[in-house]
Order: sequence, then structure tokens, then C-alpha cells
Amino acid sequence: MEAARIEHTRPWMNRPAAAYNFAFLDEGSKREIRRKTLKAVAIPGYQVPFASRELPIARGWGTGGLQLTLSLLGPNDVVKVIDQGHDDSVNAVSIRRLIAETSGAATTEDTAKATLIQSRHRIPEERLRADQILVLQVPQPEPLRRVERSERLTRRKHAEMDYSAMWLALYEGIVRWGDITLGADYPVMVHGRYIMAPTPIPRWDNEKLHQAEHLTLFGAGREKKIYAVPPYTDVIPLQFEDYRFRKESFDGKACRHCGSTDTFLDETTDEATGFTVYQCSDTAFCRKRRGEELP
Amino acid sequence: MIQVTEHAAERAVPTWTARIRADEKLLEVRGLTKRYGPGCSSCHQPETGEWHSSRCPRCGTIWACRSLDFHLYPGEILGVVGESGSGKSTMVKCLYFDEEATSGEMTLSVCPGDGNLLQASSQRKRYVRNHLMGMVYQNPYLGLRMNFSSSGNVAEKLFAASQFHVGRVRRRAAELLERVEIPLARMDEPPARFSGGMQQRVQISRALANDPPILLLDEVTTGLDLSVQARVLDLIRSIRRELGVAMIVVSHDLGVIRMLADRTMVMRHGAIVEHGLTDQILEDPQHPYTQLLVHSLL
Repeated sequence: MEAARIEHTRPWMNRPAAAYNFAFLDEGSKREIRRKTLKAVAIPGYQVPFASRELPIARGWGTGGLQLTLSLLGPNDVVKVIDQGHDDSVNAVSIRRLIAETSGAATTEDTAKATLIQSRHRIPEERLRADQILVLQVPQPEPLRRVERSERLTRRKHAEMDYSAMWLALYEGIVRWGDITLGADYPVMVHGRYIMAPTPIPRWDNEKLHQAEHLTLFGAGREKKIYAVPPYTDVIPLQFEDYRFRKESFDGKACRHCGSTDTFLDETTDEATGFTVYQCSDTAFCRKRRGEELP
Repeated sequence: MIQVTEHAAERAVPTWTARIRADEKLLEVRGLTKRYGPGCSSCHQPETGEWHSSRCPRCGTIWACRSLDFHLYPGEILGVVGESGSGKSTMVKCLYFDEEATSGEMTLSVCPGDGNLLQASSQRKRYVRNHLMGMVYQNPYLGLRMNFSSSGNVAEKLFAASQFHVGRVRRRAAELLERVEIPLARMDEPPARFSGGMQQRVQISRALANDPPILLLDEVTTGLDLSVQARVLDLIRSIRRELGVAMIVVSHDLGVIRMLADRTMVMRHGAIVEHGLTDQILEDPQHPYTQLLVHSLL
């Protein structure tokens, strides 16, 4: 596939790509990130601290995911970048351009054609294959942070598998509101050992991590943590025996563009009529279903 | 090794109950020592058995507990008295693993395979804390999550024992809170909205959640007014009578000790200066410090 050519509106950005090392980061940094990634894959769900680098985007804007992508990237990779299901939001476009410009790697919007997918807040609707890697950007890697502020204590809780405080948080929701009230970033138990934050993906996407064919990597740049779900790993949402985990329901609703009833839908308002309408959150998948050719 | 009763059926009898024998020491502590500071040659081998303070005059090390030996039988209440700074609270905190003891041995007859629990792994210590001991702190802020519901405070202990059925957990929490006279209508209110006496009672129900054979009570009635004190003491006595729980009651108040304890030990400057039956100690104190304590009783 031909690398996407990008003409910059800002001429000072039109420097030759050779001014940077391949894929922006220096080789020492990439090696550090790869080593920590290998450790993360070896201990599913465990948060591995790493030396997060400075990047031309601010921390908290996807630098963890970007560092993983840049360290994994080879010249033959095809990259897709998604932001909450969209390929064309500002953040996705900037990250995609940075990757393409500094590495010359090809980019695509078609999930099936990508080898490396960096995403924020969504996992694509199309099931990923064993030859694809999903990189998720993580704002808060610590699932216990909502019940324990101290990093020292959360680490100890993970080490001792002392998760009663997390269960208490679920219980409190049931007492107050009659059901489990956690929405996105629903905590999961990985490989029967570590409780993990799956990043703010909707509950809809949780099952896509369970016994998946593909490798999922999680990068938190600001919090300086990498963790992973290797292929064919158990990822089970926390649930009580009498209050089960449930994913979002879109009963009686369909995408206004492709008519889909089996995808995660976004709620918006039709500008012309003022009515509430629904559309696929994964825009590339929606366009593909309608028979559009994706770039 | 005791089997953890995972996913226990509704109110399964804890596995340790079969192991308890009335004539066997439930808890035995030997040479429990807690030191804050490096220590020096003069305080490692004190020339006399009695010190004038728990602080070593040469190196400034604080010896909060100095080689304490004691034991506890099933269903017995052991009282610990002494002035502020005598090491009573440090002692129970060491027993509950809140503080790491400098040296010493602690064995429980219900887990004979473990040997010295003070040297056990942190996972094992957590098991003992959750299943075999309950702790009630002087300050309820240490023992409770003030902004979570009271039933949740009890439930947290049950989750630690791998009970993940909300209906059953709530029934057990209601049962325990009712036992300590918290009205069921208020079981889902946070303890922050409760009075001091009620907070202490929520702490007691939380400590009892997994039917532990031992309860540690650190100055439970201090700071409560007299009528509330009396109700909490009544509650503790009825718990002992009905559940047969052994307790270590720490207090600086001889009245509380007289009302609750079968046996009493008197601590001063980190050491036990006298121990015996409570009546004996109160009627016929031998050590000058105990005599002073008893005589200053109003």
C-alpha cells in the first residue's frame, strides 16, 4: 500500500523526514518501551512502569499509546488511528500524520487492512486477527484508584490480590442505585489474577478482549505504565452472583446510516428535525457496510 | 493449613471451630518486642528489670513493648491496663499486624501449621486479619470507611472472605448490625452520620463479620459518655456470652477492666509489671505501680 502523502498547511513542518530517527523515538527509547512491553505480555494485566518519553503532543493526549505504536512500528506496517470510533477527529488525524511523517509507514482507515491499530475509548467492531496488534491509549491505568488514592497501597493490594475494596465500590452502587452503576472503563479480572482497567471503552467492547485472537497493549504516558492482554487470555468483568455484568442495550434502535442493529451506537440529534437519532460509533465500519471504499 | 471457605454455602460454620479446645491456649505470645530506633548495648541488656521510662537514656530508642509474654484461652477476656505511653496500643497493633513487631513469636492454636505468625507472609497475615481476628479501634476513623454505607463496611470483610452474592452478604450484614442494635432502616447510611457510640457498634459488627475466634478492643469506650459506655460494655459482654469470642481489652480505665476482664495484665514503660486474676489485682495489688493505679481509682 502506498504511504499517504501529507502536504502541510504550515510550511515549517515540511522538513525532510530524515531529520528524525525512524518513527521519531531514538533507538534506546524504543528498546526500553519494547522491553517493558515484553514484560507486560508475560504478566497479563500487570501494570509495568516505564520511562515515558516527551513527545510533540502533550501528556494525557495519547502519548502512552503513541509510544507503544512508535516502538512497534516497522516500514511495512499499515497503521490505523481511531479516536472514539472516528478516524477523522483532530487527535486521530494529528497522531496519524506524526506516525506517517516520521516513519513513512502506510496508513489506512480500514480495520481489516491495518496491522497496527491505535485507539482511544473504542475497540473496532470488526473482530481483529492474530496478525494485528491493538494499542489503547490509557488515561488512568489503575482500576483501584477510585477506591484507594495511594499508589503504594494499590500496588500492595494488587500484589496480595486484596480486591475487597473494589467489590465494595460495586456493592455501594447496588445499595444506592439498585444495580451496578459503572459504565465505561468497567473493571475486569485478567487471567484470574489481576484486576485491570480496560481503558474507557464501553462495556460493549469488554467481550472483545476475552479470549481474543489479537494482542492488546495499553499505554499510559502520563501515568508511565504499560500493560497487556495477550491473545487467548481470560478477561472477565467483575460481577456478583446475583448482579451480573451487562453490556449496553440498543433495543429497538438502529444506525441511521447503515441500519445496523448489532453495533455500538452513538446518540445524536438530527440537525434538521431535532429528533434523537442513532449512528454507528465505529464510522469506518459503518461506511464499509454501506459499500464505501475506505482510504 | 486451614482451608479458605471459598464460596461458602449460606453461613457455613468456619473451619477453625472444630479445632478449638477449651483447655488449649488459643493465642500464645512470647517475647513480643517493638522498638522504635536502633537500640544500643545498654538498652539491649538493661541492667535492671525496671526502667524509669520506655526511652533508653543513652541512645534515645523507644522500647514500646519489651519482651511481652502472655496467652489467651478460648472465650476468655484478657484486660490490659496502663498509663498513656505504656505500650498497650502498640501491643495490640502488633498482634493485628498494623505495626510490624521487632521480634517475638505469636502462635494461634487454630492454625498450628503456620508457626510464628509474626514472620508469616503478608498474604497469610491478611488471611488471619480477615478470618481469625477482629479489631475495634479507639478512633472509628481508623476502622471504618466513613463515607461508605454501614452495611458496605461489614460487607467488605465478607468480600475479603470470597462471598460474592449480594443478597446473602446483605442478609449477613443486617444480622450483624441488628446484633449491635443499629436500626435496620439505617443500615445503608454512612457511619459519618452516626453518633460516636453507634460508630463503635458498627466497628464491632464489622469485626465480627467472619466469626473470628479473637477480638481485639483498643480503648473502645474512651471518649463516649457514661450511658453510651455502659451500653457498649453490655454489648461486649453479651457477645462474649453468646458467641464465645475471646478478647483482649485494652483500656486505661480500671472500671472497664473490672467489668469485662477475667484476667488482667498491668503494663508500664513497655513491660508487664503484674498479671493475674482481675479481682486479685484490684483487691490485692502487689506492684507499687498497680497499687498507685488502684488507689487513684475514684
